[in-house]
Amino acid sequence: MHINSPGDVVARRRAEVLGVRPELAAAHRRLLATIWAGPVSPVTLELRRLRMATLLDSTAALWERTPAALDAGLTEDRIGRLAQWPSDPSFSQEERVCIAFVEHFLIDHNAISDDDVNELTDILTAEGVVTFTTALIAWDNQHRLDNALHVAAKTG
Amino acid sequence: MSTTPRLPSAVPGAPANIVTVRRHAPAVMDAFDAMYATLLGGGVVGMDVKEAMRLRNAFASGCGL
Repeated sequence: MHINSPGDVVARRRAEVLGVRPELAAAHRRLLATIWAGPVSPVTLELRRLRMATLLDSTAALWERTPAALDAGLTEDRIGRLAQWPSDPSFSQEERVCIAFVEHFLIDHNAISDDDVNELTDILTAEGVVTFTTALIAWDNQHRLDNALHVAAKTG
Repeated sequence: MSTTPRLPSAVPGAPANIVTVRRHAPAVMDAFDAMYATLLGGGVVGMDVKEAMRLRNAFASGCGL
């Protein structure tokens, strides 16, 4: 007997919701696949996706794990320490800069400075920054859509 | 809200703007543009409603574009 993980259930529910407009769902899947295949580390992307889900209270997204990130070595132990990213030594400089940028974006995107973007560019390159910020808005929208349309029941 | 790009143009000889900056990651931007065109171009929600949503979102987020 196959038992679906909570993440599988979330993915299926989201696919059902987006499937109301199949061509839009396909374009959405293609965008996410292109982002994951891009120049930014899948571990960095996944840590950032999960941090956004926490800050936006997206239970649905927190259940999910992206295979590319797990294949690249991301563990549940590190995911469990994500809230301690500023001081936990397991987080790299790249991960810290990227997570800090995400938090800044979610709290007050108009306060992002030239220095913030320059620091991100030094680490990711311009190609990486365009990929990273496009992923940022894709997940920002997805997390909010999940919450608004109750893709997964809230807990707590 | 400034609209001066913080990244250089990816197109030689062209000024930095929302199109030329995004060309640093052409595959990502092509996929994004395709999704955006699909979103705008069909479905049951009228263009007048979509444009009102876009402008309201731009106003709320302080987007100068």
